[in-house]
Amino acid sequence: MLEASLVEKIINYGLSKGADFVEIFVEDRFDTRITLIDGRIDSASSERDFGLGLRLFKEDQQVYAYTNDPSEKQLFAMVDRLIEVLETQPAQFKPMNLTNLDVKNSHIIVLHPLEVSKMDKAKIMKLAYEGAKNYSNLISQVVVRYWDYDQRVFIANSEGTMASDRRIKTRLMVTAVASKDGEQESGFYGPGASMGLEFFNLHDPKDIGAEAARIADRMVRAEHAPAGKMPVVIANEFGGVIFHEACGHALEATSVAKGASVFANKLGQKVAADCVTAVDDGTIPNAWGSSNIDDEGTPTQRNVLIENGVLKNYLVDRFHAKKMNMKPNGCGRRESYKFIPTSRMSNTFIMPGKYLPEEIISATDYGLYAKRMGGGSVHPATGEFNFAVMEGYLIEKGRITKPVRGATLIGKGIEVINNIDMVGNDLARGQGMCGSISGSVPADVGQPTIRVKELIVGGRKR
Amino acid sequence: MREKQFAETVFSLAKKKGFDDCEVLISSQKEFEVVVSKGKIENYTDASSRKVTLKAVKNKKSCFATTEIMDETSAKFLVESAYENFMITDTLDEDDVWHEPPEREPFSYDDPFERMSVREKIELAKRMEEKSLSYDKRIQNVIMSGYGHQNSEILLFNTKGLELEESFGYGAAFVYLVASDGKKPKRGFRSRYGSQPSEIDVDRVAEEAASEAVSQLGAQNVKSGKYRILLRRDVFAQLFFAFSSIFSAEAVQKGLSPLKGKLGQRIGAEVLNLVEDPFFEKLPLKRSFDNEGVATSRKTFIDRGVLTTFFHSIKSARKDNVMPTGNVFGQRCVPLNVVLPAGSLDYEGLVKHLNEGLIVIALDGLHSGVRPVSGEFSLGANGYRVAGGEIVEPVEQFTISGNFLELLQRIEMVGADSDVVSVNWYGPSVIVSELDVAGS
Repeated sequence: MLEASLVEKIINYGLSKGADFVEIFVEDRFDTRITLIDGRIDSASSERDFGLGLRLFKEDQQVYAYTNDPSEKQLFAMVDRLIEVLETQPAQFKPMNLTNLDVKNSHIIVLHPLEVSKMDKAKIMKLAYEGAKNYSNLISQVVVRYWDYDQRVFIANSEGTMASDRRIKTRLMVTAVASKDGEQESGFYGPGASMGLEFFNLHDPKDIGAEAARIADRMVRAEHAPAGKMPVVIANEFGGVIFHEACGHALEATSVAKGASVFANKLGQKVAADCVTAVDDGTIPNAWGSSNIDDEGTPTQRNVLIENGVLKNYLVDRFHAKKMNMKPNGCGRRESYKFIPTSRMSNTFIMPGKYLPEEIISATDYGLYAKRMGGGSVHPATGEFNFAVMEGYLIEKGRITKPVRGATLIGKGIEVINNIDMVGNDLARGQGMCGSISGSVPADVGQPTIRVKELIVGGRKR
Repeated sequence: MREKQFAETVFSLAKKKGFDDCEVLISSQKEFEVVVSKGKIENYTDASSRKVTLKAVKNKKSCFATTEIMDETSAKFLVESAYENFMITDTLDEDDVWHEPPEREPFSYDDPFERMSVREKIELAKRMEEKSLSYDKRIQNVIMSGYGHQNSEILLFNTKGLELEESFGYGAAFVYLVASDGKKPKRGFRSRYGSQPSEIDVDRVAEEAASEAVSQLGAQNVKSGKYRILLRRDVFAQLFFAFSSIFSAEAVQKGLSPLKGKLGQRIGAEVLNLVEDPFFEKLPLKRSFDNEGVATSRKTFIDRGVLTTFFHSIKSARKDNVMPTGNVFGQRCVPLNVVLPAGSLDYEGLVKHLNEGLIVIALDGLHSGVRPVSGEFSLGANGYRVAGGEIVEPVEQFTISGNFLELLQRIEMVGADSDVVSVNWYGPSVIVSELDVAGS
């Protein structure tokens, strides 16, 4: 993607000007996005992105520049501009020689998106449409969005590392609208993976459509959710968004290194209930949030964050590693060359416990069963998080009684992970996009069914 | 390859491929941002990039391709990909490229922030951090103190003879910090946008962020129930933008908006007016044409509570047999700038008028706790409790829930404390007669 000799030249030039660390990130990527509305392909677009980012450190400061122009002249000019900001002095340095990091590919692709015709992709979308439209006669509209991308990255830095990776992702997102008595509600389901079109051999597009329709159909017939504090049973798969928001973001070095996280200075301490063990694992073969190396050239790994309630580890990127006196652990991610990488989650989930999901519900006298979750967000410094319930039910006397419409759940991170009192045995993961200062990146969330003793349910007072 | 030459190359390839018409939009962007924390540069970005988008039309069907490189290979890629996309597009909605140049002179933005030295911008970010910390000893941590600006230049060429050029941009300063009384940390955030440095008072940004965090210390819980609520001007703006897609004609036509069938009807209280004004003096972004080359215009889209228009692209306008409204920016059809004309009471007056209720100063979950299809929302919030016409205590950990259209109907008072609260909203705070609140 860039001549190794030029890369070496640029890095050595940065070092000679007094930078402590120089990194070059090159990205070349193809995206395909297709939208189907009401059974017909409404729009289709193909995108080709190419750009390059240059990052320099000096002690505890970092600076960044990016461009679409990979010419030698432009790259030297960028180094000069950044050096000026850092106000470094020319330094004695040891010219470095790059060595290629041998990256093993753990995410085998069978049907490469660029080699599958758009006609076939459109057919898949129409199957999803049928699955949704035919689910019930209340379904008034279906929007199917197909997205695949092929991203090649090349990273070289002044520690002598040179590494490449290729990430291929495919995702199908269905929004179904159900209408009844002048009211409308929507349901969404959007699975994806680090796979090509073989993804649809494992996930029937019709089922994906039907799942979105099922949620919409259920919710348009539901009452408003109750309001106030109550026990909440959160179903598996995308329910894991609770850990992602309540805890995961606050374990990122981005917040921890500044002391701007409720989990700062708590390594080795008990921060959660005994039944909580949580992992971030960027190595899972073909998972949505996986890659072979992170966007700083560090191989991804499995990081146990919390073990039986004890805080074991943070997510540490290269820039914050120095500040924290820790090693980067393969979680430096960025949306594209337009972003400075920082510590991010990949596939994050709570490990399974001993209960059957049915046992958890029958042990709950009154509360909310959150079957399908939407997105959420958090302020790591105060721990205040929120996430949306897309499909909910009332639990009364240990039984699920009636559907209730979506409501947002709010709480504070440390309180909530101490309030998890039952963990099920049905671990599953769901896919989403996680947004933060380094942009929007694919991430899995996951968990078995869990119960939280008390959460504020943002419904309506009757 | 120069822009026009590149567009010509694409046009001739597209013609060979059998396209009827096409349009090339070239958007070049420059971005600068410095973020400091503890007096050190935490993040610093200085960059430029370019994006070229091809919209190609055949048999009234449009399809798209984009690239970031302008060379022969990319021109081929654009046309070939667009053709593949055309082959699968089977919508019955007709699209086209635009033919009529706007009457208004294009805007040209000569970025004054680029004339400041880099050093000066870094110093401003550091000064905001120092100001925040010295405001009160309970300010524990300035997470981000940032100063930045961006500008874009748009070039549009199409085969119907349009050749348009416009530049626009803005600067911003922001502070995100945490105050602590040793018990519960509370956050404070403030940002300020402007066309030039003089419009961004960095000291005020720092002080407002700091005073807000301090004023939230010792926040209490709220009992669940129905409350009268004052939505601070920035909060009302955020809530509007979370639902702005429902005003897009395409969403209405496709049954994805609760506004279907409501054109010309009352959808809000009589005191509510909303104006889309792409030329508004106090807001930084000004455009004479949108990304489809259609002339922009000032329009009161909610007039004394009545919905007067949707926002139309060329495609949705053809379907409804009306004119496009010049609102296509990025991939969406949205208002560029929104102005909420002021009422008579200033902020203190609004608090007095509220008498009993809650003030909401921040919302959480705006990307997930809103359902545009139904207008329903349920959002995390914090603010103050008001009793006897005075603010009595800060409150936290509650949600507000309701329906956006019902909320518009329930606006009982529009204030006079108008200000620039985001890059594209100028307006005052409002009082809503009733919303559902969930707390402890």
